[in-house]
Amino acid sequence: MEIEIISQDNQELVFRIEGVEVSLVNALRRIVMVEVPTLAIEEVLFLKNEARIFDEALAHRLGMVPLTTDLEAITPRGECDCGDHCSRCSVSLTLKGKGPKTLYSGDLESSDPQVKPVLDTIPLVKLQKGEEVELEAIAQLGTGIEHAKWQPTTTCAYKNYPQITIDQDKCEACGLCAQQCPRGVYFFDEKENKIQVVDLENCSMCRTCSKDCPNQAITVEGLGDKFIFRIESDGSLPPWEILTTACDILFQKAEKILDYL
Amino acid sequence: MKIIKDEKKELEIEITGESHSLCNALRTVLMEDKNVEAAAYAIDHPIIGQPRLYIKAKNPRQSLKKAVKTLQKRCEEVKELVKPV
Ligand code: SF4
Ligand code: SF4
Ligand SMILES: [Zn+2]
Repeated sequence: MEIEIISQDNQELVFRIEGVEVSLVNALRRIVMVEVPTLAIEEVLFLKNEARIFDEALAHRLGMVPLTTDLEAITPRGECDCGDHCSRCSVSLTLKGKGPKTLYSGDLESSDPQVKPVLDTIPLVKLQKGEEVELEAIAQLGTGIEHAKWQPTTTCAYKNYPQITIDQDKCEACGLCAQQCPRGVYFFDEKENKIQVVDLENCSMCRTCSKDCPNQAITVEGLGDKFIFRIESDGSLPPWEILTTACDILFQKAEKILDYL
Repeated sequence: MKIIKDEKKELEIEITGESHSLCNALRTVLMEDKNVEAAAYAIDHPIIGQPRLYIKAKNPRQSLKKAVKTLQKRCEEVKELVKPV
C-alpha cells in the first residue's frame, strides 16, 4: 500500500492511495462520514428568550454550529455513568445578549478553552431593541448516524485514478478533445501539432473526449486499485485525525468478531 | 453477534449492529484467501436488517480469523501513512 499526500491543511486532506481494494477505501469513507464522533450542542436550557424565534428553532441552529473537538478529553455520552451530563461527558457554553444586536457563534462563551465554535461569524439570532436572550448550551459527543450535526466532514469522497491512453497512430491532432473536455485535462500544442494530457487528476472520467474523438483514439479508464481520496473537515477535527480515528473504528469493529469466534 | 450455521466447511454469522462498511471489506479480504471457496454477505432490510456473513472454506473459522487480522493490519497501515510525522 502506498499513500501520497497531494495537499493538506486544517480543512482539507487530499491524497493518492494505491494498492488497496475499493472495499477498504469505501469502508473508511463511510465511517469517516457518520461514525467518527465530534462535539455538538445537544441540549439547550433557556433562561430567557424574547427573540422572535422559537426555542426549538434556535436550539436547532445552535446544534449545527461546528465546535472544535478534543476526542481524548471527553467521554462519549453513552459511556459516561452520570446518566445525564457532567463535566466528563459534556462542555457547557453560554449565550447572552440584549438587542438591538445580532448574536453570532463567536458570542458563545465556553467553559472549556479547548472547545469553541470553529467560526465566530455564524449568525444565531437577531435581537430587536430591548429583546433579551440568555441560555446555556450543553455540547456532547455523538456521531453522524444519529444526527448530521455530529458529522465531522462536509465532504468525503474518492474516485478511481484516471488513466488516459491516446493511440498516436490513430490521432490526427484535430484538437477536438481539448475543446470538448470540461475539466481542462488536455492541451493542444499548436507548435508541435500534438495533443497533451496536462491535468490528469482533474479528469472526471465522463468520457466525452473518447466519444467525440473522430478517430476513436482515446481510451479513458479508472484504475481499480488506485484512488484519489478527499476529506473536507467542518473544522471540528483536523482531517488526518478524522481518517486515523476511522481506521481505529474499523479495527475495533473487526476486533469484535475475533472476540466472538 | 449470532452463529446461524456452523459446519465443518460452512460458517454463517450475523454481525449484529454492523453494516456494509465492515462486511464488504471483510468479504473482499476473505476472497483473497485460497482456502475460501465462497464468501458473501446480505442485509435483508436497508434500515432494520442485520448483516449475515456466509463463508464456505476448508476451515471457515480459521479463514475468518485470518481475514480479520489482515483487515486490521491494513487499517493500521493507512493510519501510519496519513499521520503527520
Ligand atoms: S479528438 Fe482524437 S484525433 Fe482529435 S486530437 Fe483528440 S485524440 Fe487526436
Ligand atoms: S473523460 Fe471527461 S474529464 Fe476526462 S479527459 Fe475526457 S472529457 Fe476530460
Ligand atoms: Zn457524564
